[in-house]
Amino acid sequence: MRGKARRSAQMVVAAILIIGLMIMSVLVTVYETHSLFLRTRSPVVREVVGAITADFKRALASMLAVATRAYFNYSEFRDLTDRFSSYGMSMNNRHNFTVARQVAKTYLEYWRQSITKAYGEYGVQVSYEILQLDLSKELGRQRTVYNLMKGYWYLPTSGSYAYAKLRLNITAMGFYNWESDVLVGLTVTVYRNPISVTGQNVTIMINVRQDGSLDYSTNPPSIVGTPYGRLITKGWIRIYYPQMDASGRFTGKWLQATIRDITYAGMGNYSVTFEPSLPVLTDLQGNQYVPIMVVVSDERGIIVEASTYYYISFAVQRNTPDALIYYDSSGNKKTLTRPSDISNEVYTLEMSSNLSLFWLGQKLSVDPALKLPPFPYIPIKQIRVNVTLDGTTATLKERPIQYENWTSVVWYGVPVDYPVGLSDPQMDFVKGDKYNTKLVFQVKFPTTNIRKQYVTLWWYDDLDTEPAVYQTQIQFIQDSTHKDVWHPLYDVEFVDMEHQQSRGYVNYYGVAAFVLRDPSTDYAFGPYNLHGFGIYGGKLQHYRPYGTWQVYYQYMRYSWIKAPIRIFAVLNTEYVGSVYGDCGTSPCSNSYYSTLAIVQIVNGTRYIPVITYIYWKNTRSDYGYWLCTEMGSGYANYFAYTAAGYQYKQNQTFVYTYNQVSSAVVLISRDPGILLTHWNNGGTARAVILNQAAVNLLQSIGGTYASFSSTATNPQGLPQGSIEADFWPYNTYRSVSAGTLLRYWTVVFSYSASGSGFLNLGSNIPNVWQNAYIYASMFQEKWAPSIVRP
Amino acid sequence: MFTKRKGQIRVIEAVLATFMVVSIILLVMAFTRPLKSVYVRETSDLRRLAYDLLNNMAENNVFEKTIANLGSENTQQTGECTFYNLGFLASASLPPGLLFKIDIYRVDFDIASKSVNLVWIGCASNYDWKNIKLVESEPVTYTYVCTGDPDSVRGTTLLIQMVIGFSG
Repeated sequence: MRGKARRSAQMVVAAILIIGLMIMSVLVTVYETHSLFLRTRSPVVREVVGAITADFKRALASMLAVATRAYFNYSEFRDLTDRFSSYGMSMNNRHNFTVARQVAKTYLEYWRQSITKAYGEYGVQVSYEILQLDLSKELGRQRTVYNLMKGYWYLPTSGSYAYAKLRLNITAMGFYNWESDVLVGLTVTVYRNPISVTGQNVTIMINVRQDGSLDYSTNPPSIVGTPYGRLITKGWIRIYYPQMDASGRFTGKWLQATIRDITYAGMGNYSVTFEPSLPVLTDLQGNQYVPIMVVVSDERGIIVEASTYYYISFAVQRNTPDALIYYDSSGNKKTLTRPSDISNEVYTLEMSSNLSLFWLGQKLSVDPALKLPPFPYIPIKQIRVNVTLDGTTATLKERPIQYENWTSVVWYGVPVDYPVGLSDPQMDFVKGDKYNTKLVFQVKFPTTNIRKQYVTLWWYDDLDTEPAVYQTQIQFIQDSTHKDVWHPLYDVEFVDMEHQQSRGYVNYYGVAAFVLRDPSTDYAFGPYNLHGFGIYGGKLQHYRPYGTWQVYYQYMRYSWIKAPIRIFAVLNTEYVGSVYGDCGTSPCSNSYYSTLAIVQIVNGTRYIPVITYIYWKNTRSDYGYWLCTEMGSGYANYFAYTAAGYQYKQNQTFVYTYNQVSSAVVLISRDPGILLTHWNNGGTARAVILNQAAVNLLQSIGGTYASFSSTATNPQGLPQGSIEADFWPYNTYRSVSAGTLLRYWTVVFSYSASGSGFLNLGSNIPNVWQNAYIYASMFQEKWAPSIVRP
Repeated sequence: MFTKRKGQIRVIEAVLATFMVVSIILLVMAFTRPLKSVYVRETSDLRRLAYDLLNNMAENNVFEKTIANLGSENTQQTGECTFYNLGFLASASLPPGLLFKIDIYRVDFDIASKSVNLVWIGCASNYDWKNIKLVESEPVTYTYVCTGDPDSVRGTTLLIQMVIGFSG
């Protein structure tokens, strides 16, 4: 029994084993079949991931193309750039990389949606992360890509880049957390020293690199570009060269060169031969270069613009004499030595896009040996200036710079430059036929032993650069009682049609002038009158310019950035008005003279330049004709002027007291020269300094009647104590002819009896005028600074 | 005694039944068509072939050059495949005997409605796709952002649907 039961159990075990083996064989076969099914019927993960990654790279490249093409020349590539106008990529924002970046991010978001939709059946989830990438190996200077895309242009090694990390899941296939660094970029290096320069052409060498391999051993990762060998077949290159006039001077205009030959030398190197030939220049470090711009595009439309130089450098030479000659009222020759501290000798210079430099509107002489290359074709916001303080390169540091728009017009037959506002910093610094950009900066000569200061105009390579914000002490205020420019030394209140009533002073009935006020007490010293003609009921200067001052004090687009160097007020009118109310608030006439005046309130200086143009439309006769006048409101105790040299000795100086003026009622003295001034016993002083053209006009129009005058009281009988430059005085009746054109400048100069930059005349009040005289020469044409080689 | 013998018979029956079921399953699977080696190789290769073709064309900016104008005004109302250049290039790049149809959609990003819309702009094919059915075929989806010239198409996003296979 026991043996039978054992056999039965053995049979059961054997049966179970056999059944188990069979079932397992079925399972293995089913598993193999399933695997085969997956292999044959599943989507191809590798190909899908590769396709999406490649498409992300193309999307980045197309957005970098939009950004760089718009930055380089929006209108030329309008077929591309206009299509992204609904994203914000407009002509107005062509030099705004922030906008371009936002356009790219918007586009990439839609691209992400399209990928999700296209690969919906696979459950694709896609996103990207914006990371940093080190470009220092690629560009040879410390630069990074961040915030998706960056451009570093206008230097010999320049590049455009976009970089992000793509993240991808394909949920339907259980494929998660795919990451891929995606970089697109184009780099160009222009070897500065040309290979050859002949009489007909120039040959240069460039190196072009595209994208590149990432090096993760650094943090952030860095790249080295891959040599780009398809420039000739798929990309393109342009070279721009600066136009020269017949004398070989650069005009500031850029022209496209004719490329005669391009040869690929391997490893991304190309030799490029172009016409015309150009001079070889040498920079401060002694490196030679031909001034050109090189623009390169790859087949994806990404553009890079490089230049062969980093800066423009020159020196400003002071030409003012340090020993001044004058004659006392008796005609005795005197020598006045300037103090070693001449810290008020600050020149506010303008450099126009046609490479001319100006001081008070006067074009400065430039050393013919100085070859100034033009600025690259670059947005204004990227331009900066370095200026020395002590004449050595140790102090060659960044200083405030201001960008202004000027226009050239023919005003009654003569060419006239005048400002039309502060620039839009995002626009190009280019030479225009009608409008020109001017860069304004200051050059200081703090001591007499400094004759030359170095100036370097340079530019940031970062396309994201914003215009610099500099501290300034000048500010424009406009409300119901103010149309003022505040300055630490004076508050300038502009009276005109829209601001007729001067605070605490008189109603000007629309006459355009400016009133100088004490900045701390708001006390009105009285106005500076631009021009005056005739008398009205015994009152002086009947017909004065009538109109509205246009004040320019902030940048276009960047309204929060105030003018750091100077605020302009421009008057352009054909009307004359009267401050005496006989014409009401209307202009009196438009048949006398037209006026164009430019007043500058300059930060950090003591002077207010007034550049004036007058054109007489008809011949008019009357008593009294004034070139300009500055009222005194009774503050002055002393008055002085220097003679022009026609009736007295040149710079013979006459000093008067208020008592002398008062006893004369209107003090009149002949032969006015460059300096008219008044001051008080407390040492507060103001002068009007005329340029030589103004002095000559006084003589040519007024002849022997030309006078310095001072009026003792105002029409209300209160003390006035003005200083006036007359073609002829109020008691003389003469005519001015139709067609008479006057071009001159004056400078309102605020000074004191002592202090920094002045002689110590606190105990010698009658000679306080000397502290104006020691600076008068800097405003004269013949002593203007000159531009020389550094 | 009789009961014990009956149990052994049951076990033998179970073993035989299992043997028969498994044998039949394996026999059926052995004759199932997907297990033909030639078929396995070709179906997986078709997709890779399609992706390779599309990648090659993308890298060489074929789409920009063969689809001259991607504007909706050129949308082909007839439904005929008239991207002949694209079709020619694809045919020349594929082994003989393979049939394909490439449908191309422009992906419009509508800023106002914040939506993505597909606009069919045309197709390319190397066979009479209206009358001939593909017996063995594979669909492939591909997206393409135009990066090449001309500027009028640069930045345009395309959705490409390609079907590739054999006829009967």
